[in-house]
Amino acid sequence: MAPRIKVENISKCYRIGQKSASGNDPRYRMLRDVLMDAIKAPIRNLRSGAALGRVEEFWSLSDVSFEVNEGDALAIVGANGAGKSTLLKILTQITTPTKGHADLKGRVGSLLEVGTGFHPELTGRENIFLNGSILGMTRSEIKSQFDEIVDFAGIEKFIETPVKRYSSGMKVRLGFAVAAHLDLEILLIDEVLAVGDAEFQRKCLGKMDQVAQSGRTVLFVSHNMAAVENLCPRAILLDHGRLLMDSTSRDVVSTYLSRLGTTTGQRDLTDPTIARGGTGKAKFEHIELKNLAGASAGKLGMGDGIHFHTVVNADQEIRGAFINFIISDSRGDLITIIHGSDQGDTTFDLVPGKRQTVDCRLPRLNLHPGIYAVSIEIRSGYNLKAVDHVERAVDFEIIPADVFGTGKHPKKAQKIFLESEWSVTPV
Amino acid sequence: MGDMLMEDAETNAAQADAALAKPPQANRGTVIRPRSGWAFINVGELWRYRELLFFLTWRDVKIRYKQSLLGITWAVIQPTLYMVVFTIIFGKMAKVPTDGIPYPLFSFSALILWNFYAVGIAQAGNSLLMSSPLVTKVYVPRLTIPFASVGSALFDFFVAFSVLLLVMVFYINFSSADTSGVIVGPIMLMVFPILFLTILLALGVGTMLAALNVAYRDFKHTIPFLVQLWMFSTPAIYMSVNEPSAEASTPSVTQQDANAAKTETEVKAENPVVQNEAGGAADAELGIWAYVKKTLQLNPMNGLIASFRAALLGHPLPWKELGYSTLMVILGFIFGCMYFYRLEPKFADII
Repeated sequence: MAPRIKVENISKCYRIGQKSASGNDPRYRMLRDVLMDAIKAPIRNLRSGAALGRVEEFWSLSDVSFEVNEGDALAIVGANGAGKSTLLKILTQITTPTKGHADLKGRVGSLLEVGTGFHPELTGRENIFLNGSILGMTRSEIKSQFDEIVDFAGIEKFIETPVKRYSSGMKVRLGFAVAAHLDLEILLIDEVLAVGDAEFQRKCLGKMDQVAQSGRTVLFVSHNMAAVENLCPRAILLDHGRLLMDSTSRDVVSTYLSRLGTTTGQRDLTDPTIARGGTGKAKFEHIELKNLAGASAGKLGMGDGIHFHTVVNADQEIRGAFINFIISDSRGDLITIIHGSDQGDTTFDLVPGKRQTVDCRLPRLNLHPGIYAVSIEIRSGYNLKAVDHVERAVDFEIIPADVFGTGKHPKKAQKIFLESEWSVTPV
Repeated sequence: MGDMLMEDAETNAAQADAALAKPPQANRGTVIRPRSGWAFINVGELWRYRELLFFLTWRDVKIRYKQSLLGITWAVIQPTLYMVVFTIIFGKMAKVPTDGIPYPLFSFSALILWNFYAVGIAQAGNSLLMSSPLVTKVYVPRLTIPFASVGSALFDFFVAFSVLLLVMVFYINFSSADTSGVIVGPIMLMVFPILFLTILLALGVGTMLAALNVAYRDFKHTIPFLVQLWMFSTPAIYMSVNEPSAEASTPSVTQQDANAAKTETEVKAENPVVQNEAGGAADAELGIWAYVKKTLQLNPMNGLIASFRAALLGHPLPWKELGYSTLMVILGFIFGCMYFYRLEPKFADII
């Protein structure tokens, strides 16, 4: 059987660093610049000769090839900037590749954003038709599914209300409802599931699963590893624009997570490629997770304690600094923040050029088995602004253990467990 | 009818698909390749997205009138106000030649076509920036976006046009010795091909402006200026551009004007604006006028507006000018769309 999607040696190059006469970003060219460049060019040619026209190239994708058969659901996994979105934008024809080609057989629907083209002045009903036609549905298709869409979004009462009066949740639900009823052979889906409340997310995941089971060809980009494993049997891993791996999603997800430095439980944070936020006046240099015995550990049993060990280096003096450890699950949902200034006086002063270690111990971690991510940040005690922030600095895995001493494990699909004392008394 | 057939074919194919669980519609595929250089419109794709074109047009119309106090009357007010101003300035004060047509009728018939064109290209020019999510977040044939803007301007045109028809009824039996009103006749049907040519020109120029607007961020400031300048370069809107010698129907008015111009020029005869071997001042004046006229003929709107008015009022058409404009319109449409297609692959990266 011929593959539904056939991608061959797709590459995409962006030009960066090219400055125009006024020093503006070349992406935002001004007519003024073009005219000025034309005037200045002869002079500059004389002055600088060879240095002219040096353009830095950035290959967002290089030589990516894969095939997807009919009815397959393929996940695209990778860190930020790996080229996932670029790949999706090329396959949806939003942008063109620099090299290579792709053949897609059948009608292609894309869902890179929920509710594209919604207009606030139009009513829900009008926006359903508008959005549907933007996504490539015919009017008769929209008409025949109209009631289902309204029902799925749960906005029956507001269908004649302008969308500008909708809550943001309602807008998102309506947008997803239209997209979910796209009846096309190929669906390209970006991470749009991280929207809405928990109940709606579950509904979306259910719908996605249904789509993937219905014989349509699905390409799915996500950071949500649970959803990836759930929806797609197969996945590809992108890293800096290259295809690193094409395998079962279980293998790909575990490779992806291990590449993030997960299982070793420690990570060098001086690597300049790490994306970080904050003012940068001080930086984390190292993070290590240990068990309470003091050994470095990326895996912990349920109910074990955990010890966060960080090394901080400052460029400037910061008084009253404190550190937050932010724990989220593999879907990126926040579990809890271990707040450095709420739990006792744990603030400290940072002195330029002097390294300090900060340690934090949790006697018992009531988390369910699964992979969790720790994001870390330093905040200034003066204005509470973030000085340094590293998203997903390190991951750890919780493995099942007999926490209650009964031999029974708590059931799945929970995040935390709590110990409890019971009493049953006849009255 | 055609639409229904198409949809039926589609649903049939979909049902066949469901029944056989085999890949249907292999012809519906997409081939993605690097694109560069010049290309022309993908007509098949535009046709597949005709409903989107309709919905985008409908959206523009709906939004424009949804929250405005005057609603649909906006489409009429603008040309009407222009007509009043033009009648006072050009009709009463400057007394420009109008081939004997009453000035309000003369200017209003031109202004509604001009207004369609001006609004159409200005809206189309800004359309891509206004709907940038349609460019960066989803794939639709980008040409539909400026096309829809012209479509919504066309809606305004038809609203104003129905008002114009009422005005025309008033002037039907207006013709006398030196004035001519509406002469009902089959030539009036020429209004539609002329309107079609104007739409083509608006599409061509509008798409080109839209592409330029994405490519150069400061281009949007030049659009209102460009439209204004273009209006002044289209004298057919406010005065007759027929040559005085060809003025058979109303010799009196234009002859007077020519005489007045002659004496005026004789006063400053020593000023050699244009070399004229005959040396006659009046000839020099006519020479300038001929030169200006030739230059203005580069502007296809002159011929279109003069022809539109002539056809609408049942007067003889300026066929030569219309033929020339037709040529320019076709060139303009092709060039505009080709330029748009050339820049299109970069839109999502630079918008």
